[in-house]
Amino acid sequence: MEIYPTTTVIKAMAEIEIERLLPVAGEVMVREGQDVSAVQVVARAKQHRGVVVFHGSEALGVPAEDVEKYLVAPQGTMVQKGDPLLVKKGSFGRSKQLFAPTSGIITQVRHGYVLFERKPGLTELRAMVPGQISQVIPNKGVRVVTLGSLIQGVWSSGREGMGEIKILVKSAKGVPSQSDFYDGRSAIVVVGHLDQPKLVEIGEEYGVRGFITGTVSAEVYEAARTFNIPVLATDGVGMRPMNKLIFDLLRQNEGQEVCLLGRTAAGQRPQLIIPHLNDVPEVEEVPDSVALRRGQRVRLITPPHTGRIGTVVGIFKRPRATAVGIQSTGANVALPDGQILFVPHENLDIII
Amino acid sequence: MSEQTPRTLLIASCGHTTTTVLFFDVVDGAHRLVGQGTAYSTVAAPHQDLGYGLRQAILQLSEGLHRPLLDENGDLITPATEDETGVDFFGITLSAAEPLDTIVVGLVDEVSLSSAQRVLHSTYTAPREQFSLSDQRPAQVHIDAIRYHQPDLILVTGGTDGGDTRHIMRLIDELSIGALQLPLQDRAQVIYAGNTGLRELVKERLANSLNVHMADNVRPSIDTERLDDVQRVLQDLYAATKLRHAPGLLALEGWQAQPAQTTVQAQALVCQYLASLTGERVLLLDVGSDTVSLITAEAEAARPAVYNEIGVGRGVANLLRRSSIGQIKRWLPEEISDTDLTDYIYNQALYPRLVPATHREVMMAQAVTRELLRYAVVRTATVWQWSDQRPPRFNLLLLAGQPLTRQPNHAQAILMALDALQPTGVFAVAMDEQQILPAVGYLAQHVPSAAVQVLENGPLTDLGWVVVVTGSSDLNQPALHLTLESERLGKYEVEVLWGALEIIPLPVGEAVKLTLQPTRRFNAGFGRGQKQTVTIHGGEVGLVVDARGRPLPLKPDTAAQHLQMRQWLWDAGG
Repeated sequence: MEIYPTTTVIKAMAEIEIERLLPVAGEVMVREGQDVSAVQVVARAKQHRGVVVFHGSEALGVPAEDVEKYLVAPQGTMVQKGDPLLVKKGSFGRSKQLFAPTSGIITQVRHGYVLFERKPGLTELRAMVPGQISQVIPNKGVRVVTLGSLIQGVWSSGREGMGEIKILVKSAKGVPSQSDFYDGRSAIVVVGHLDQPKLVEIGEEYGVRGFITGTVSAEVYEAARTFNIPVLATDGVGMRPMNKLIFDLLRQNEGQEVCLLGRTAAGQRPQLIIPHLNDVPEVEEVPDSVALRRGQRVRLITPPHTGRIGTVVGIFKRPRATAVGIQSTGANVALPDGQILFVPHENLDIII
Repeated sequence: MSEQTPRTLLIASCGHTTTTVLFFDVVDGAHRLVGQGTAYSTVAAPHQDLGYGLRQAILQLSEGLHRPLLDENGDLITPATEDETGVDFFGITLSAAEPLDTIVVGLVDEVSLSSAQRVLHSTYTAPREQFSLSDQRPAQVHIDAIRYHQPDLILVTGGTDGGDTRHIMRLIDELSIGALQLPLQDRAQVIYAGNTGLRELVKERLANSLNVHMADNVRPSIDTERLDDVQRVLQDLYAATKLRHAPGLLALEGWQAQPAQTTVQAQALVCQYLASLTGERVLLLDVGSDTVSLITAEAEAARPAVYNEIGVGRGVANLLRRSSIGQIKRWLPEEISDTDLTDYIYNQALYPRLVPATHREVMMAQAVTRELLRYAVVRTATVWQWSDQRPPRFNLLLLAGQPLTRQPNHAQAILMALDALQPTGVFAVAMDEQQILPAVGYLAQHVPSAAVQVLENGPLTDLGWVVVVTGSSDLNQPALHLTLESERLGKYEVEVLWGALEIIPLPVGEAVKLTLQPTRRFNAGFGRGQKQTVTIHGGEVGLVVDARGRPLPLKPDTAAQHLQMRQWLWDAGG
């Protein structure tokens, strides 16, 4: 029987494949095998912004099926806000005139409503990592393969960005202050903890392109939708430092370009990719999941040892009682200070 | 056993975080549960294939049984062979498929929309918007809402037969315009369950842009409600649009003789069956990672109330939006700051499988579970018009889902259920520790004799019985006099004081004659001061007497409230 805890990828060098998909069907601009840069547009789509309705029947006081007769311009015409739209001539030369409430194309008259289509927007999808197109997904997007460092985060604010890595704090538990942001202009900055949403706003004002943080406070977590730049947390919510493995890897790569991929589907983890396309050493494949084994490095993800990294020294495949009396399978984990703890497998995160 | 009845049965139950497989075989002439395997569910990313986790669970089961179940390609060996490999029958229930994003359209909140809510909560739906007569927003808002939410389903109710047509047709026109904005493949399915006289007109207006399904009017007259037909249409639609498309399910088609079923539907069937055996009401509470379900069942029908997107996993963050940190904190026995509790909740959402590792975490987890259940109970009370925000009397309470079944002790699970439900009367409590109820519900439809045999063998953990005393008086006044009499225990008497929570251990399975004699101001379920003798059975916990009062008198002062919760926890075994 195998036990499969959660896993987190922290790799200095790996072959990485990412999927880039348009939100709506569109046109793919590249071909399979083509080399792409991170900023290259790989697909684009017209994104319809919906219709604006105008209740012509009510406004004119005529039956719904008659509205079309009073249209000044035929369906398909582009009208500007304020242009005459419906005119109903009355007796003695009087007429009732109604004006377009918005600019757009008159697309239809339906059940007494006049429908205008808003001008569609153009969505462009960038590759986000330099590499090669490994697959074209017709009308939807592409898969891009690249080489580099890969770090899986735990949470993100839902946006993506790229820039040079700038370590903004002295240690993995550092919280930035306003003056630190002078050094973070045009960079993706690394901090230990973000305690207030205001820090993200200030960072943005200083030209910071994104945040990589160990942890965020609940306030930052809740304010995620209001951020215009991406924020990615590597270790979750609460006042804890960034784990050492990730902090050290980011520090080694300070000054390198990093791609922060925070726009994820349900269950997917946000990722940091630091491309290393030159001077490629041996590259490992990254598995989706791995079974628990002795000797593995694991991160503990519950109190009282949250965030600490240890080594699996024993595996229990039959349930045993935890300190609070809950039965679970799990592992004995040796911590660097010599402690050995039984940890339920649900509370382990294997570092791969 | 008939020749047609398959001998070996493998039933899987796939939730958002855990997949369980149960193996049934014939032992001493009847089907019995003989093995179980569990693994993490893999419906979501990165696998997006429920088959991966399912195979892991089957491998674990196979190892425990010493019986090969999968071939070298990872496919199920079916039918079973003479050398005891494989199984004869495979089935699967799912709660892990996505819910139907839904917009509800109706006329009057207390009439058609109220019926629509009862329908929607009967399966896995996620209500996004509601358009009604009392909704004064302009048509543009409705049309934009359809584009924004891109619902899977629009449920249209409203209008008694022969009643109003103008308002509902106006809403129908808005729907048809809203739908036009979406690509054909993204357009919602519509269930029309309103004024029967408008059916043809509704078809005519919507059929060009939307796929319309007709169901009986939920409110043919103001005081008549018909939910069966629309519930059936909804369940069929859920199966066709969500269940069958659960990631990886199609690839298992070769394994299954019968289609997959929703977990709640299977559970509802078992509850109804159990209710039919005793002729009394059954209540099931199931707390999952992303779903909380309450099912009330009588012999004639089961009424599920499913709340999606709340639970102890990914859904726990939503609890803060629907309830509040203060509401959760009222269930804590010690001071925990808002920050620490919120951090705990958000981390739980990020790592849905976490198991509480410290006493403090157990307390937070239990507080969250209580509030999830309380939220579901209060919502259900509104939807089903229960009085006093509590369920109608029931005789059997079933507890399911790991937040209830995986506690330091069973009494704490009962206490969580009592705090959230605040029930009255006398009832038995059992726990579905092996997650067997969905499997039995599935079997009930396809191999009914096996379902009956499995249930007869008592696959649930009997926890014991609960007596709730209600009334009013000063604290610590005698409220109930109990006389317990059994073969092994002899006869003894207990006096329960008002405000107390008492647990009297009784040996598992022991039949006990229990005489309840409440004092004149109190009621133990049979009338104020009324004496009654009932036969109960011992269980893992025994007899719980809850004389704390209804509604539960939670102290407003924080320190006093902590003391009170600590006392109740202590009474429930610490």
